[in-house]
Amino acid sequence: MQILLVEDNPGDVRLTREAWRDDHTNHLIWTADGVEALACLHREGKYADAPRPDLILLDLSLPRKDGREVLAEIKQDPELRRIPVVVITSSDAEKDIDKIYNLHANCFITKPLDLERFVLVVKTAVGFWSGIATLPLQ
Amino acid sequence: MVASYTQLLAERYQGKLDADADEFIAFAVEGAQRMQKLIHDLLTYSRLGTRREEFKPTECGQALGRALQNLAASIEESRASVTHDPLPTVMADGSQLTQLFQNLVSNAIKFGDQQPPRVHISAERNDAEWTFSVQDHGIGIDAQYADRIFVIFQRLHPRNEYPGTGIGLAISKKIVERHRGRIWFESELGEGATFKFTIPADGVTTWQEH
Repeated sequence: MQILLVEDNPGDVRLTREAWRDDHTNHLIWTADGVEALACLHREGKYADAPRPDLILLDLSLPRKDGREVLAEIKQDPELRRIPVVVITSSDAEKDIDKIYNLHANCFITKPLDLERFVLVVKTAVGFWSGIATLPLQ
Repeated sequence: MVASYTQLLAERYQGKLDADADEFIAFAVEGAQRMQKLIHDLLTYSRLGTRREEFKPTECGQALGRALQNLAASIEESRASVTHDPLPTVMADGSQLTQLFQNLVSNAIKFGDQQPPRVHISAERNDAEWTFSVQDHGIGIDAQYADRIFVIFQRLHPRNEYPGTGIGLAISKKIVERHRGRIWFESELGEGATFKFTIPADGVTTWQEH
C-alpha cells in the first residue's frame, strides 16, 4: 500500500516508520508541509513520478498550508477525494474534530503520547484501510 | 531536566551504540528542547492577558537596547549588525515593548539569508501615531501569508530549516493591539521583509536622541 504521510516533525515520521518496520508491504511517501503534500498529490514538479497514494495520513499543524486546508482541497477534488484521509494530530479539541468531519475526513485520531499505543493505533488504522476495507479502483 | 538528561545521554553515548540509537537520542534531545521553548513561549503569550503593567512614558531606544541585550548570544553567533535611527518616547508597557522588539529583531536575524544579517529599526511620525519599522534583507515572505503569519502556531517553514514554535508573531500582534496599534509586513520574496507597527503618539511626543 502506498501511504502519503504529511507531517512536519521528523521525529514523528520516524515513529510512524517504526510502526511497520517489520511489514514491508507498505511504502511511505513523506511530505513535510501542506503545499508539498498537494504538489505530490497533483504530481507537480519533483513529484511528477510520485505514485498515487492509497491512504493519506495527515497532521493538522503544518507549515505554509495547514492540514485543514489540505483536507478541504483533497475532498473538493474529484480526482483525489476518494483517497481515504486519516487525520492524526496531537489536537483533541472538539472544534477540530467537528471541522475535520465536516471537511469529509475519513477519520480523526488523536496522536497517543505513549509509544506502544501510538504504534498500535497507526498499525490498526493502516491495517483497516489496507486489509479490511475495500477501496475503489483508482 | 528531561532536556539535560537527554543531552547527557547524547554526550556520553553518541557514536557508541548503533545508528538507530544515535537518531533516537537526537530526536529526544531536540524534542525536549522544543518542548521547553514551547512552554516558555506559551507562558509569555498567556501572561500578556494577566500580567499587565500600567502604560508609562517609555523610551523606545531603551526598550530596544534591552531586547538586543537579551538577543546578544544570537547576534554574536550570526554576526548580525543591528542599527537604529533615533527612536521616540511613547506611552507603553516597557517590558512588552522590549518583548516586541526582541521578537521582530530575532525573526529578522533568523530569516536573514545573507551572512551576516543586517537589521535596521526606525520610527516615523505621521499625525497621531508613530510607525516603527524593523527591516531585514533576508528571505522575505510571500504576500499570501499576510494574515496567517500572525496567527498562533502558524509556521511557513519546516522546523529543520527554521526552528520556532510559531508563537512569536502572535505575541507581537497581541502586544501591538494592546497598545491600540496595528502590525503588518511589507516584503518581496527573496528581497527581505520590513515589519511595521504603529503606536499612538498621544501623551508623549518627544524624540530621544542617542
